[in-house]
Amino acid sequence: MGKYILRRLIISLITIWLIATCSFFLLRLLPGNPFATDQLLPTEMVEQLMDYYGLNDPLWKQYLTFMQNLLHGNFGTSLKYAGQSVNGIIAEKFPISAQLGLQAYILSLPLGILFGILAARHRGKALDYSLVGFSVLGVSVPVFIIASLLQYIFAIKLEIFPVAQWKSFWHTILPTLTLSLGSIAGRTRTMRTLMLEVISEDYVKTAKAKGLSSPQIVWRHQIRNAIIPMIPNLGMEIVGILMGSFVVEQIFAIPGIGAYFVKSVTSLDYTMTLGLTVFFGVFVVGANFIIDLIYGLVDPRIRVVK
Amino acid sequence: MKRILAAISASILALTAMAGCGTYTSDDNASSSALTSSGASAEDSGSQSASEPMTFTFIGGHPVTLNPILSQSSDDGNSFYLLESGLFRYNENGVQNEICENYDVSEDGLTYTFHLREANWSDGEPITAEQFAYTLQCFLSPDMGSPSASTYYDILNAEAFNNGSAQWEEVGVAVLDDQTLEITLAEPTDDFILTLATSGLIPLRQDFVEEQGESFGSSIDSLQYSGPYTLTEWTLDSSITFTKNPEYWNAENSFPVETITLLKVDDSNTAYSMFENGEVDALANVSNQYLDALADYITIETGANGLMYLWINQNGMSEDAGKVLSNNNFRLALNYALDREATVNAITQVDTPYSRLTLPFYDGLNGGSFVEEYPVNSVPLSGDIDKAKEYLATALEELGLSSVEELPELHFVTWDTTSQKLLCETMIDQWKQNLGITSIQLDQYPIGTAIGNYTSNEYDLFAISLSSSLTPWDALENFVNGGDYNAGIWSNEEYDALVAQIQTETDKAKKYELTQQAEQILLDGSCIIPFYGLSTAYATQSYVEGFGLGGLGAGFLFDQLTVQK
Repeated sequence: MGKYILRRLIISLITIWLIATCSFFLLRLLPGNPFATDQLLPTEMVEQLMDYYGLNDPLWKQYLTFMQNLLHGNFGTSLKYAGQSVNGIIAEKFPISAQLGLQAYILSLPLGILFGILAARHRGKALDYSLVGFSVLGVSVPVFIIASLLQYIFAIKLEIFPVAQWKSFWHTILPTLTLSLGSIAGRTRTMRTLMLEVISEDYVKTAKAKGLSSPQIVWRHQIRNAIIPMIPNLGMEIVGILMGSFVVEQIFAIPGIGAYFVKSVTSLDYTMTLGLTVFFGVFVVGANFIIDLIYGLVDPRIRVVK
Repeated sequence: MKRILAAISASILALTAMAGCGTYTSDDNASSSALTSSGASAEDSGSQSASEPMTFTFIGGHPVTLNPILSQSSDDGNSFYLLESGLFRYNENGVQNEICENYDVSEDGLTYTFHLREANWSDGEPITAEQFAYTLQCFLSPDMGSPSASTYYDILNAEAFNNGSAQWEEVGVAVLDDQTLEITLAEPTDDFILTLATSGLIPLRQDFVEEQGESFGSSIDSLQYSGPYTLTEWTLDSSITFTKNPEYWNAENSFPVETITLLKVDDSNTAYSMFENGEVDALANVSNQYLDALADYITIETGANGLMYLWINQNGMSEDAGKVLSNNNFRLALNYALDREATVNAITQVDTPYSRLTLPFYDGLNGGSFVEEYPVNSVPLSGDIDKAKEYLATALEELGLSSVEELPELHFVTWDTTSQKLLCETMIDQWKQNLGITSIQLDQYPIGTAIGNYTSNEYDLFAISLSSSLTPWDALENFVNGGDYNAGIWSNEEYDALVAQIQTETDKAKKYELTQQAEQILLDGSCIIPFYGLSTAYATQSYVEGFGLGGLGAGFLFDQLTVQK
């Protein structure tokens, strides 16, 4: 097991190095410069800034500086937000996105699984149809419509929650609902399908024949087996959800990290894009690493093979 | 099933726990009251006593940096206006004295002596002439990389110092004593005071700036305040709070509002809802789709924000395109075929169709505006299709082409925002309808790439706005061959010579006349084509007074702002 972990670790590090290097050079292939906005700046102004940030140096030299800083865990200063370090921005914005994501996750994970189980257990009945109907809606209605709808009903008409911003727990409820609705819907569908597959398995019949009670069969034999294929997805989902939702954050004016991910690329803020890419690269690689380990723990079959 | 229930209740517990350790932007009184304000404000109005400090919350563009040396975004300007005091301050009608109590100009118009008033920083330290000189040194120093450097090239040897070919001691900035600053110019100019008022010349304290280093201006702790407000909260791209600075020299007579909060809300629907709900007092920028809904609250400020231009590269991207585009009649045909009024109505509504280079707010010589006193021949705002067709016929003949079908493919380069795409497509459509030209195609890139294409002249047609200049001739300088905004897409020796003459001309009447001639040449050349003036529509609640854009379009004014909720 120790050897296996070590190997995986080395592969992970190489992956991160590849991510950093590829994004560095790919980013520089894009024509243009970071100081372009929709109103023109004089060329000499742009030149001054290019010189100041060392962007006129040869590319290999910039790469070495970048790598050197990276080894020290320093992503550099943003080119657009003068004076702000990328580390500082991540430290300030990431927890906000993470909180929103986790809240949505904590809400959607049990609910999605519960709905899936209920739908499967009541297959072909009214409850099944309404849950499936809900999940089709939830998956197909775009987030920004759900968000506007919730804002209209709960903030403007009922005045229960504020329209937007991120200032107290009350402010987080509408965005959390918006963000989780889609994943509840998606998970309901997945869980329902997985449960239906399991219900007709031989070991379930055996359990029934042994005279186990229905809740025991569901808990011990059906859920445990149905949930396994969901685990590898869970890891990636957590990463996805932590990266922040650009749309939800924008609509609710939440100062999360989602917007930086999108805008730094279009505005060619090299240091910011690289910093965020590497940061999330580490996250994804790390999450995969851990999920692989957990997967082995949960599924006895995998342990046997190993 | 019990366990699932347990899991759910556990997750609810976790949620509440998380609420305790929140990442929220601020927990001050302003935020906690935001929730109740929507319900309570209606009843409260009127009962609020006049002595209670006024607060003002608005949604607008957020500063990207408050380091004045590296600042380049116009959104930073509003914050500097509130936080710092320059020698002069722009107001509704023009310019007023700020830290400069009075000034003398030498007879040759070259030497300005500024006498500073007794004024303090928010920490009680005095504001001195030395601090202004230090700021100029920062702006101009070649290793500071300040994008503002060229703003101060009027000062003697400033350009040479910025290029590294002169020492700081040779630059025309001298500190006579703590209260006296002397600036010597290279050439006499009329608008130096205007430049000082609208550019970012604020005092800076050397020891502090050096101590902060790279992080200067990136948070509330890395800034010092000489202006009417201090920064008490700043969450990047989210909210920023200004609190009145009692040390400000004119604190008693101006800036009556105690706290100003600037929020950033990117989604225009959300901004609108917050305004409707009474959560904010003003919107600094109302997007088009809400102009009707907010009609009762809106003020539209015209033109001062800059001009949108159509650029035609006479060299073209390809040799074939260059042949066609270097034909002046062809360019005129394109220009005359555009119906500016219809275009602006279709795409932006608030903006003003325009076909001159000089803006309506420039003063003329005899009390009127420059535009009235010095008319030029420009394209009618609704276009002139007959004339356009004539120009096209002549152009085709000169080029030896029998019909428009033989025209080469032309590339209209732009970036991928909806508004920009709409603008370009509308123009292409008019050329198609009015002239039958079908060979112009739209190339969309991400903005950085598109502007890269612009600076390296990799386009046939391009549309982008420029911020407005302070004087008529400032605008002209940008377009000489090799100037700030003309990297060789248009060359006209007569024009370049005229602009050079304008720069050294001291007789005002003569200068205005030459400006008129140069403008005419530029418009006839039809390579750099003014298209419409950018306007700002802002909305204020009925209880807000004195919030607006200054006449110079430099930024919002707060000095007489009152909020009587």
